[in-house]
Amino acid sequence: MKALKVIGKTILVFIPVILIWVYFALFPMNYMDGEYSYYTAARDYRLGKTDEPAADVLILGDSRAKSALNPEQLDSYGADNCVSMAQGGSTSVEAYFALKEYIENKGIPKAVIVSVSSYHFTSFDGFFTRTLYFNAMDTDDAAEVISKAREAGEKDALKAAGGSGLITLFEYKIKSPTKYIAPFINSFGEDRKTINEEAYKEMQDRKGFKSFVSWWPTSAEHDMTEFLPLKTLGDYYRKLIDLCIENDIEVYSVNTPLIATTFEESRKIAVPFSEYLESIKKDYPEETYPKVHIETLFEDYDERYFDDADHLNPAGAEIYTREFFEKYPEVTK
Amino acid sequence: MNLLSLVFFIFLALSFLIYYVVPKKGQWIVLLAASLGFYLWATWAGLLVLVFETLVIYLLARVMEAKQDKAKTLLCGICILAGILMLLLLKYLPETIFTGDCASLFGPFLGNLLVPFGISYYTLMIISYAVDVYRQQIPAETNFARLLLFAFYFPSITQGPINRYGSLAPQLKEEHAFDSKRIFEGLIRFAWGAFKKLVVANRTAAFIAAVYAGKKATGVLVLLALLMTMLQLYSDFSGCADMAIGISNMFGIKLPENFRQPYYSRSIKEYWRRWHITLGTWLKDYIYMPMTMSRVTKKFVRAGKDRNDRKRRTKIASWVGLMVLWIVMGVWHGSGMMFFLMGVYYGIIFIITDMLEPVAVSFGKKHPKVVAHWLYKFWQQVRTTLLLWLAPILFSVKSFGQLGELVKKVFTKFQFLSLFDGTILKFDLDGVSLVMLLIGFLTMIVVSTIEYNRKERISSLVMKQKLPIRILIYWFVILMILLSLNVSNTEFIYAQF
Repeated sequence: MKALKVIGKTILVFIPVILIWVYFALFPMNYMDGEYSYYTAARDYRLGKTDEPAADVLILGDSRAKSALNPEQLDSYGADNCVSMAQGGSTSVEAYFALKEYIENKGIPKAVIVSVSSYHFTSFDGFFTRTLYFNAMDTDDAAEVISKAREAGEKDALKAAGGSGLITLFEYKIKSPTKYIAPFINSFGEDRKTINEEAYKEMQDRKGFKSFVSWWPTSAEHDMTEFLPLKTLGDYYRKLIDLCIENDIEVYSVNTPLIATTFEESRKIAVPFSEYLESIKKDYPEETYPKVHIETLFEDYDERYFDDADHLNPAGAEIYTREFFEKYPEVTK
Repeated sequence: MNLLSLVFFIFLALSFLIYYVVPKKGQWIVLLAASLGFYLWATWAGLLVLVFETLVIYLLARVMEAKQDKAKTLLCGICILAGILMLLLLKYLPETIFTGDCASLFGPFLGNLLVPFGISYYTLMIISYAVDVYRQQIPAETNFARLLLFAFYFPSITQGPINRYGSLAPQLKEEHAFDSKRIFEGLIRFAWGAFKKLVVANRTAAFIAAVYAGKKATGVLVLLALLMTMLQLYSDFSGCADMAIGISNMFGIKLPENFRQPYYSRSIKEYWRRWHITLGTWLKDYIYMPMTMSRVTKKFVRAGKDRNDRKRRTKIASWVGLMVLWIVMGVWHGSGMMFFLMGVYYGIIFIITDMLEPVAVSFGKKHPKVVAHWLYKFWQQVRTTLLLWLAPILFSVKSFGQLGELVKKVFTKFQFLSLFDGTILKFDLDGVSLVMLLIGFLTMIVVSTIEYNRKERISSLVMKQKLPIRILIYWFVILMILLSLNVSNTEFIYAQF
């Protein structure tokens, strides 16, 4: 009886925590911020939670890919259904698992276009702060990435990306208030539910395509001092290509354009990155793997085609998508 | 392991459960395992070295206990020297010579070994143990594992309170029954500490850092930030002490108090009886008293020509002792010149206070009504606080150069109205944060005043309230903590020592 009384009192004391916790777990659309809806829309799609049809062409990669390749435009060139699952702040890790989940749930696409910028071979970037934060990856898959990164001695890189490993993963999985109180507080006075639902619908309507309102005044290549790729990210890039080969998917690894104003400065990163891509390309010779196309060079676009130093604007995306189609017309066949 | 992290909560919950499930005779072993595990989480190399140091002190103390006179003194000297040497080698030397991250400079082993966390607290505790054995105030511990538990006791190893073997060890040996009232009281104390840290300290820390770094900060904001350093240091440090005492209470072990409303002090002497109490008493017992009672001092006093001369010499000896005490206090906090000068500063004001004491006493006798007036008392509190303001400022700046720039801003770019035109919100304090900080600050004032007047801790006062009142208080504290989790959780200031 005494024990029950103590338990009862304890529960009573922690009612605010319990209520907030339940709210965090059940109503993320009501308080989550930023790109939550983008990630959720893409994940719901690939897990088959929506009625949207399967795609024959999938676009994977980071925010540059998301803003540079327009699925609707590729549809207009003859693709049956092109969908972009590229996400801001994501790397080859997210691209690989997105495709894996897609194949498991929606079938095998005909072609995959993937573009991951140099920065996303050197940093896990949004792995914790977006992918896991938005619960957009399976727990086992995330644990696998963390353990591989640790094996490769990339603990510091994980930390720099905002997580210390499995504990952080656990905190996200249980929707710990320590992780989700910030968006909750920031949502005060905002109708986040409507905003998120609209963003979710926009993602469905635009098939994952998104232009970015100016964020960064300088490009990632401009800000980086040297190109130091992480082993784990390179490995997952190769795994992605291998997954395509296994499933007989035509894969196009492309590089979105860099801004002309800082193109020369970007060479300090672009040149070693090209060599890095060249080394990957050597592992997939055209004679043996005719369906693997890896671009290693970069082109630059005038700044009027950019929203900010990293992301193409719709006009830039139109040109780039057209150029891509002209280079690889078979993609829509 | 941060005391406010999920990992720590899981660790604490597991330790707590096992502690009350195992047979009571084995409770201390659970605490030992938890304490070593807690330390291991931070540094395995540091743990190895400090366990070895504890073993050396353990053996020396046992031998010392059996010896007499010179041999005993020699062994005690070796113990003290070993403690100081380890502190110099592992903390001060790396801090002075290497400015970079030790791990990247020397690899994982040495990086882990250098500047192990809590080493300053550990050293004071282990030295006090050896000296107390020497003074025959306590018997030497016969069980090495129990000495390890005393040295590494996890609630206090991070940043105190500085325990004494004589008061902690018997409690660690006792069997503790599950007492829900005591555990709740411990939880309240812990929550109150977390409140201070998360609601007040982290927010002030963010504001101070932003103002110090912001080129557009006006003089009045710089002055506000400099004033807030006191609030930050107190809420951070006393918050951690509350958490440590609360956690320990949950295990049935009472730790010494480290703070008693220091900003209500009316004199410097009183302040040091209320601020970092365990450090103050440690310095008094192991530095000041041995110095002033030493043969050299006695010889110096006896050499006085007459009674007045001997009295004067006693005073001089006391001042020398005070100066050494405060310099040690300053240097204990860090190796830089700033900490040394902080010690000298405190030494000087302490000596001046001591010199002026007769004047104050005679003023009190002449004007008893004035001295008893609340305004006079308030003035004394403000004066004391302002005199001691230097320390929090020194903790918050990187160099004297930075301090100079800040002070220059106060005098050249004051702009009083920037306090009210929204400029303040540009320095890591949005509207919600500012309101939360104000509520937190006012709550701290109210609680401190209640504790000061009632001479009782808020946790035990809350426990005396009726359930609905208690629940409302809990909810208020919990909600304030929850709504402060978005502020970046900085490390505890005193955890670096």
